[in-house]
Amino acid sequence: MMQAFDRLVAWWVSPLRISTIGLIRFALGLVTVFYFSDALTDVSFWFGVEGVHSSQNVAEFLQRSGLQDAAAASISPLFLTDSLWVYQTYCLLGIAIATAMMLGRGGQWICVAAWLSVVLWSNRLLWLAGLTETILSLSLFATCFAPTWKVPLWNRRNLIAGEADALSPATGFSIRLLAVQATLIGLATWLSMLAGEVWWNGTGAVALAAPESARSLGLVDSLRSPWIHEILTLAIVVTLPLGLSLAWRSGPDHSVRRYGVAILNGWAVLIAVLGSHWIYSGTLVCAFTAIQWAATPRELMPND
Amino acid sequence: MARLAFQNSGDHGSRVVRTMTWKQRGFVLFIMGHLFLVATSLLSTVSPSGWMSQILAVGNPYLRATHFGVDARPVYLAHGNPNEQPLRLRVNDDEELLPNTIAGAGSDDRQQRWLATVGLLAEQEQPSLVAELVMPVLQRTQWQRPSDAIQDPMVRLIREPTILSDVLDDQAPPLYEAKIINNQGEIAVVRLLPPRLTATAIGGTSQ
Repeated sequence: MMQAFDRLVAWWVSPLRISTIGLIRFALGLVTVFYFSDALTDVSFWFGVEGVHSSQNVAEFLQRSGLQDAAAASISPLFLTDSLWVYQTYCLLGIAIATAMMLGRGGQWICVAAWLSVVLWSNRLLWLAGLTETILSLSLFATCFAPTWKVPLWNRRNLIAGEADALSPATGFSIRLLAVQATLIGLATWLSMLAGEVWWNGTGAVALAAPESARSLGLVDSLRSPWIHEILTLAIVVTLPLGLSLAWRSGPDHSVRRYGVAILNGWAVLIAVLGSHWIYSGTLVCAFTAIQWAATPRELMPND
Repeated sequence: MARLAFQNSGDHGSRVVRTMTWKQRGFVLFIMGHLFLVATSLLSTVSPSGWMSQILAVGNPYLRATHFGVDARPVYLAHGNPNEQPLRLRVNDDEELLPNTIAGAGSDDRQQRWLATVGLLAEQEQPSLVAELVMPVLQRTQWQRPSDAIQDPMVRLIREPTILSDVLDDQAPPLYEAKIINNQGEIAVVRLLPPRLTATAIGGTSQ
């Protein structure tokens, strides 16, 4: 029993190259920068003394609805103030932290700071937050464990080899956590999708693009042909499990895992284009990419 | 915390299964619990079972504090339900109360989530809570200034038609409809009840 558990522990902490998490952090940092930049655009409407979602308005609503207990776990220091400049500064700070994380500056704790900045902001949003914040929080959390890898902006030789790209068990742990979480999200999405009739009658792609006024790209007219929307629906339903099974395939051929990740990332891009889920899909692309490294069998891992 | 768990992991390149330290075991045990709660939260969005509800009741403080839980938000991409139609909060059917946003941007998503909360409360017959949410929006707009106010302003929460909505969906009454009363800058809303089926003949004219 203990041996079996130790094998599981050994899988979690099998070392991986530090550069792998560096690339993931770069991409996730970029998504986080985009997230906080976007949050700045409507911060004055929701927050501040006259904000629709001000602390005072939220407190009154929670008291009248009797939901204080449900919201009690959503801890954030931003509930303590209604000063608009605090919220604006918070977003700017979030952008700065995410930029530092992208570039591998500030040590490992900058990743913890990036994760906490998203969590505390999301907790303050309460019912304004959605699935995007959850996936971003999970993904940033997974990157917190690995050591820092500086993006070699000026010295490209570091990118190829050398001390900066050593093997690290903590990196292996981070990459695997990211990959397993992405797989859980993918499976849950796929299973719950299939509970909807639209994914069986071929109109799933139309349903995704149908709320045109809430979509960046008005694609409904181009989906009117049954050939197009049925093929796209089938592609969305089939590629997710296919991509996951290929990306997790163990075996000597690393290219199979790469094809799997390419299919998964293609799926995420399709969802982004049809449903305008840009930050959601961007985060999933980062997380799906981790699967190819997480799934590499131990005997194929490079020696230090 | 990661350093503590990983510092004794031995030779990095070894392909032999090593004896794990108790810190590593404890850390992996914690992560397995974390993944179990996240998976339960993700899978409970369509219709949570009794077990799922019990597990989430225990795990919710952790999931909410860290924002790891989906908290009943749908993880499916679309089901084509009327609930997925965009919502609009309008005064007298023509004027949007919420500021314009870029379609598909995060600001638009936040507006839709806020409107979905208002819509959910309206469907659950909670007009006072709906008013609690809508009032701050009205107070930010011109309806607080009597000179600018139009005659008999009404606030309506409506579902916008989409290509998948049918005629019956499009003719459905507003999710929420209320009269805005502006008493010298003091704003109040009085909810109007939707018309109900009745046996009384209406619309006839006597000649």
